[in-house]
Amino acid sequence: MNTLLKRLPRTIRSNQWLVYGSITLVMLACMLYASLNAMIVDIHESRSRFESESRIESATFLPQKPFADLSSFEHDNGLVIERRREVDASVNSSLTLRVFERTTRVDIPAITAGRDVQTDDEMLLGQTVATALKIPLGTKMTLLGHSFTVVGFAAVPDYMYPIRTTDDAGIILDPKAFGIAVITPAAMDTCAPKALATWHIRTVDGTTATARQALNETVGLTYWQDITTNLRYTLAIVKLEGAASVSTSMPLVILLLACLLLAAAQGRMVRMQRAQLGTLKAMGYSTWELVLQELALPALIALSGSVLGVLSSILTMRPMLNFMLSYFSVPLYVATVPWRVAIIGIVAPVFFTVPAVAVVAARLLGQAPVKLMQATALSTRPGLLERSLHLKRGSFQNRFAVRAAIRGLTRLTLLMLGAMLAGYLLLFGGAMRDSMSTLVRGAFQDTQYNYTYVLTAPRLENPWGGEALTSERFTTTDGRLTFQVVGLPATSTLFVPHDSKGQAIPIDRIIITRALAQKLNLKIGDSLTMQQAATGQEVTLPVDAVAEMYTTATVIMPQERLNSIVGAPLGSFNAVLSATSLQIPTQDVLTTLSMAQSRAAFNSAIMPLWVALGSVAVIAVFIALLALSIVTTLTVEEERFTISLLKVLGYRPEELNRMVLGSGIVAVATGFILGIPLLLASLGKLLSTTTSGISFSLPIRLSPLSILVCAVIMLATYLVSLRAARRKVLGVQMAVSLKAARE
Amino acid sequence: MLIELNKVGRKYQMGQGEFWALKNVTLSIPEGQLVTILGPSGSGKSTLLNIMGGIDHADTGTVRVTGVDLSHASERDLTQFRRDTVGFVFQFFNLIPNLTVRENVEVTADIAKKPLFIDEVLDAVGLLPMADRFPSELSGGEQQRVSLARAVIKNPSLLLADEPTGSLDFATSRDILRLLVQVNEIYHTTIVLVTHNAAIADMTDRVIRLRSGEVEEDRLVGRLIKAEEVTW
Repeated sequence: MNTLLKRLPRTIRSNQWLVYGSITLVMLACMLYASLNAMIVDIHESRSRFESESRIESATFLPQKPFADLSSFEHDNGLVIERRREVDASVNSSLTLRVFERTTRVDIPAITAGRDVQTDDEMLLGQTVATALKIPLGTKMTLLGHSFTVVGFAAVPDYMYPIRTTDDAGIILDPKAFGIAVITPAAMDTCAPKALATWHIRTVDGTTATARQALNETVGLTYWQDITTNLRYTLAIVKLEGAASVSTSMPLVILLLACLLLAAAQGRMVRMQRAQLGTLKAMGYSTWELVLQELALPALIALSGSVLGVLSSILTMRPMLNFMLSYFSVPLYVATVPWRVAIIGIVAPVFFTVPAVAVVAARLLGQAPVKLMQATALSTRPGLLERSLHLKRGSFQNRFAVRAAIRGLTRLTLLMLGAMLAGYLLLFGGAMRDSMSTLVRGAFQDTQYNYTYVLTAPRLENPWGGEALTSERFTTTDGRLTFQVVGLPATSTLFVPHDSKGQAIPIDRIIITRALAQKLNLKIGDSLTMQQAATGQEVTLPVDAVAEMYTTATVIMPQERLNSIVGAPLGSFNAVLSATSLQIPTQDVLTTLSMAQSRAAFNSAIMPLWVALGSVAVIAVFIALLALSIVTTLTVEEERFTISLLKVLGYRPEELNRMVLGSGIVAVATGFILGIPLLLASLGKLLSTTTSGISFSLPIRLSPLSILVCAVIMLATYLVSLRAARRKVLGVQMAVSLKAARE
Repeated sequence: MLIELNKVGRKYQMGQGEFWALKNVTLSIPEGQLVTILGPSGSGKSTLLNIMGGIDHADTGTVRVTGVDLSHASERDLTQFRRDTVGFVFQFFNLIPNLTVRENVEVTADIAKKPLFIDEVLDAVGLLPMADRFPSELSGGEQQRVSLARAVIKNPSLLLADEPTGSLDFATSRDILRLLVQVNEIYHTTIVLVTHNAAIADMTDRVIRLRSGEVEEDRLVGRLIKAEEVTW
């Protein structure tokens, strides 16, 4: 072994905290990067295979008349068409299953566990509901008055995001309340012979215009929906893509920052050995040989950290995948860390760290040996800034602290950057908590009703009581966002929107909810152009007020104005709000929604967000604390000479703290404070991506309490790492330390 | 006696074994004496000086300086002892590079009970005109004078100088030695001076010669020559 390389294990032993801390930092960053990226790649590949193998539909339709010869029509137009019957079955008071008959050509159920149905008393259960309610295989269930045994779990491609209805009330996923089931066609004949039958078409290239025209000409169409406008499919895509952008960008940034920190720390370690390097150079070692020697440690740290990180991602990826797939009904065909992700995860830290340290070492070793040997801590020339600083006022110890801070400006900047990263990541967790709390707390404060009854047709008289209103679906002109427009009577007491100051907004103007304002980037005074979903009629309205509601993207306006826009008779209404249950005849009610259901569904919907972002935040906190500890340890190591000298001169530990290391706290505080605007700016972008395509948005909140808690955690970490590092330095014999400083 | 050492020993771990840098050293130094500790490299000179100054500890025996039992003193007591009683001069000056000359002296003055006037001390060592310069702008001799001023400013009872001329040329060395004698005479400071240069011994009151960690010779010299007459 090269003699100089023998130093490596000794260097590691004498800098254990720095080395193992750095390895852990790289490992965590790599683990986060590899597991999240692998998860996204695996889900993407599983979804593609699912769509292909289960032959996802291109559209759903209802014909006006039966097909005369379906086979010929399919053959002539190059289409595959299959009829599927479906019916809702209540399993108990809280769970409804949408039961499909087993298809074989389009939207074929994919078995995710167990086996396919073979007899008429067997059923497949949707994997999301099975996971949410922990229903095992072999469970017996009574559906539509018949007993079935769950023999397998399944995913159906056009129910990738299994929601009950696609209107605003049902858009929120609640896998504990709603799911799917599949039974044989014969069982469907027995249980629900009059079940609604929809037709599902698969075209060769996925485009539907020609097929739609052919169907219109042959059987006529009463209903048509492309898969690309089916929220049960598009919401899954939008959410998975949103998760992908968060899951790939944030860990990459954390990984890069970790590499930057490692490179900076290792670069400074090289500089600390300048006298040794000068001596070796004087002895005849070439610059190149010495640079290579100096790269051994950073390369070892980067490589071992990244390999450990990628290996541990194999363990962490599986539970993350299972969690994601409990909300998206996609079979998991692939569950590995892809080679590309593994290689990037392993190579990136080496690639970013080693060249940076090489540059530092090469520049340093470019100097003459004598200069390197002389330029120890004892004789380094002060910089221009230090020389131009004439401190005359204030106590000596304060002036000393100022000089120490200026001398260590680069190091303090590094400490500040470390603190900024730490602060950012810590506050990320705090902001997520605050934002979620605000959302949940404010979710239902403006709504004083407990029941919403949507009527089958507009009515002019209300014999049932409650508060009558008009509600219509609109979309943005590009069709990307669908939202509800609600017309309320001016005297409404059950639905009272409030502004950001908590003042009630009178219903004599156009009010949009904060969720809609954020999604469409609207503010008071702007105009909102939208299309009525049913007719495509376009209308432009001024935004007069914004209600602080984050849970639903809605426009609220005077009822008669909405009636006039949608062409409904004056004084008519199509929905009723009520604080108590109303006796409205069943045939008049399209849907009934209770606030209890809404709350449950809402809580269920924010759960995956909460857990996903929360778990990233927990890992981020560890990374942050490690980063801070590494920089602090380095700071104390570099000040070893000054600390020892002052100690020899009779300074007490508390005085040393203040004079030599006191400026560190200013850097940490500055970094932490700078992290706040950075966080608020990036969180806005992150949350808007995460909640795109769904009807609520997340308020960005960071409470003073969270800032205080994060600041205390960070300060405590800094002080603990400072104390540990200082103890090491103070433990060194003063004489030895001073001698070492001039070697 | 200002310094009393009784059977002092100091060992270091060397691999599996141990190495005794000092063995059974017993000596006492009265107040105001100017003492030279001589010996070849590795004889234990610096270790002995460090133990007297409270920056290293003895493994055996007792050490009392100005009445303080350093052998059993806590870390806090040792700090207070160094703060009030001892001044150090090092071979390589050990100045703080980013402090000016005045500030380097102020480092000690700031924590001293009754410091001397900085300007007076700087004037005495001939550095008043350079008070606002940084160490890197000074010659080796000038830096050692700053180091001496830093040690003297608190008017210590004991001044310990470890090879104070070890990295200086002959003329500059004589200059520093002259200043040390002046300090001893003016302030009655007890000075223990470690050197391997036997020529210096004749200008001091007493010579203690160490070899392999033991006192080989301890004799009074009685200042046979003046600092200006030292030659080598």
